[in-house]
Amino acid sequence: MLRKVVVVAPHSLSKSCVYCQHVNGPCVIVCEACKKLQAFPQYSPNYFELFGLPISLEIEESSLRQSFYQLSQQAHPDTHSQTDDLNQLQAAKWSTVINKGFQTLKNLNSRLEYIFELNRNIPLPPSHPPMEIAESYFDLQETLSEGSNERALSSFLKMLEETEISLDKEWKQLVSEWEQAPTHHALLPRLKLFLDTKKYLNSLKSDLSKKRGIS
Amino acid sequence: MIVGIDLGTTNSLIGTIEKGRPRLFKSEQGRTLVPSVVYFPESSAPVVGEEAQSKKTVNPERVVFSAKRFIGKGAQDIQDWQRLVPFDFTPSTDQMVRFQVGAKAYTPIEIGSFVLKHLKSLAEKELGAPVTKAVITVPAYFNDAQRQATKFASELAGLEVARIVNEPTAACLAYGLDKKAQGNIAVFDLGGGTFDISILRVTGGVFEVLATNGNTSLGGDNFDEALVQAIAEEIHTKTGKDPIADNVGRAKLRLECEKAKKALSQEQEIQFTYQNGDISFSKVLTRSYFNQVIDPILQNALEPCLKCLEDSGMATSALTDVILVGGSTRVPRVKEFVKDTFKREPICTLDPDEVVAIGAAVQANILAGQTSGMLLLDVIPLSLGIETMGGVVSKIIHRNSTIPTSATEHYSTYIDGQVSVDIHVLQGERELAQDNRSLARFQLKIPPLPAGVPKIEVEFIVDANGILNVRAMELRTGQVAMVTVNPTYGLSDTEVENMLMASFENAEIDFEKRFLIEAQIEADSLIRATQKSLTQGAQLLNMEQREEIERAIRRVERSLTTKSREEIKKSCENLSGVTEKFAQDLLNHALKNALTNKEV
Repeated sequence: MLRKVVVVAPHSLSKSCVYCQHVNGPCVIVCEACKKLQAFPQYSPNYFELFGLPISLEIEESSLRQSFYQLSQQAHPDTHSQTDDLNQLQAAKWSTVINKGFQTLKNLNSRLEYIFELNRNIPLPPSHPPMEIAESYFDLQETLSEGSNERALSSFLKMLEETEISLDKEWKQLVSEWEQAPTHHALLPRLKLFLDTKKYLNSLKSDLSKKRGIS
Repeated sequence: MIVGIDLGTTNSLIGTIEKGRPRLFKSEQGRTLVPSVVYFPESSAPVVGEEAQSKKTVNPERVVFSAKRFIGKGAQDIQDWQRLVPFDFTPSTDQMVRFQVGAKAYTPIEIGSFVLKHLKSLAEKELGAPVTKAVITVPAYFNDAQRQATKFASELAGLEVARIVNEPTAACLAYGLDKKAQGNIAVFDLGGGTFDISILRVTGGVFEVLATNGNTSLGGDNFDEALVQAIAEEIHTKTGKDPIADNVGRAKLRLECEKAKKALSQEQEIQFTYQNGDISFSKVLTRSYFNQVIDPILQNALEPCLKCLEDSGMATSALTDVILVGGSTRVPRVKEFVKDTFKREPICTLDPDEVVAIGAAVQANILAGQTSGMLLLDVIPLSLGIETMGGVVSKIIHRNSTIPTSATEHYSTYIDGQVSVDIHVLQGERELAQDNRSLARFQLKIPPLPAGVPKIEVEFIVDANGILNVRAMELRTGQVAMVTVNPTYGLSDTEVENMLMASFENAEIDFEKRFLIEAQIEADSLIRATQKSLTQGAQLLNMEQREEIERAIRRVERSLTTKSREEIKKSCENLSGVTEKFAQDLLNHALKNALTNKEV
């Protein structure tokens, strides 16, 4: 028997006002014409679209924050406290999504995870640590367990540094390919590998700094 | 109309905005500062404010003050606080704190409501109209139970709560009223009983709180008490008598110490005298003596400041201004401390005693639709989560998340045929449930299913007041349980604040403890699974491959003896990596066998 797979397409926000059909610009949830707070959509809206941004890997924090403030000023419960309960509930829902969206998009790791979630119908390789680095980390552990060894440590750190440089290169490459590619599906596995490696490197670095802090 | 109220540990204020200017209502004595003190006469209604304050030394057993320190706390939380106050407080059967006055007992919520009622009457007298709605401030570091209790006190006083606002945020709003605050602002708020530190980004009319931290048992009260202890000891050494053996003596000494503290903010030295019964004491008190007494207490503010800077992602050099709030920031030593910590001269152009109330009034005005273009984006101060297997906390909403917010997590069962699950809601930063504040506990009924099959969805919803709602649902049956978290005062939490402070010190240990346990279990089952596969799929491996896997297993075994989580984790990852192809081969082999109808 086949397993049923439900693909939920990211919800698109309606541009025209549900009350007066006025066509609003991006980041508008209180209609510019009739000043009514738009009904909260049935499905949580796509964060990128909500903030008026293309689905991109790099986001300028200042412009993201500007959209965040613009949206919050329209939707925050404080600005609707004199309205009826239903409207206040809508405002709270909008505001919650805006706050979550800002938090998700602000941070690189959570932004990439969110991109994967938007594309959850595309199968991605399972996460595993970069074997080569992991292998040499073990060798380092074993060497160090026999006593401190500055040479082994510094050559490992050098390798980490080199990996970081190549990871940085890969990131720039990904960003530029992402901008040019008409569809992004083909880039997702590489993006996943990038994120896994980045996370692994960060955890290695914090492990090492902890260990060195102790010794 | 909506009023703004600063319900303080020592003093409270009430105000509004009139024609764009703040107006604070005055007491019968013509002061804006109303002591948060309640006096219970033998046979008439309770008295609040200056008059009650004056009874402190006359009739200490019938006067209750600093009740805010007790609000939303369980009896176990405050066992050792008796020395701070002369009145009796006793835990009752429901484990709620009660102040014993004569034959009657009052909860901190009731005391708060008496103060609020009094403030309400002051505003009504001046306005000549009823007041029914208020914005009330609380310390930013108040937990959910303390916020709920404050809200309840307000309702008891006949005031609907339009919004609960954090004190430092309110202060920042007050500075924003005249566009005095712009950029990255740190607010250092040291009041009578609580300490908060918040960092905000103020752009245009938007006040975005980036991070907040604090200690809800640190304030000017502690300075007074430390001075009482130090001087009582001197008196004892000199006269052989204990001035704080009885309540009246203690209340008198405390009053003198409070006076001395205030005087020393102006003078370098003062003449300190104490007279009670046959005890007579006099001494020249210098500012440096006082500084020495309070320094150890003030040090407790350092860690929250550093943590807050870290959470906001900001270096001290990136700050535009540091604002001083709360009466205790008048103490020169406190100013020096702020200057040293944030590496800049703090500002206090608005009265530190009034600024929070003004901010509350500003927020009230915003909510009444009278001020446009100003918006406050606040955060929750402490993470929220639920208890999972092994007493471990699964955090659902992290501290410093902008509110309102919500988050959903999924869980399952550990035992076959389980018919209900306990949802234990917690607040705090520690990894283990027992070390956090327990907020609520409720049950969700589920159909009896094998372990791991039920899908339980838990949703946390935090409103704009920072108050939590929890919804739990079993997805296969649609069974729902929903609670607005009601504070469980009585749970055997030990001193909550100490725990919160300890959480910073213990974060590493907790984390290690929790993940070491998890990693050990995981490693053990991984070894066993691999060994089983090695027997089953022996024919799929050549000598070299087999040796490689066995070497990886030995590595895991060795890592288990190191008790180091990182090493266990990494060795497991290594083993999984090494066996990846083998696992695939084994699966293919099993599939092939199954297709040709052979037993594996």
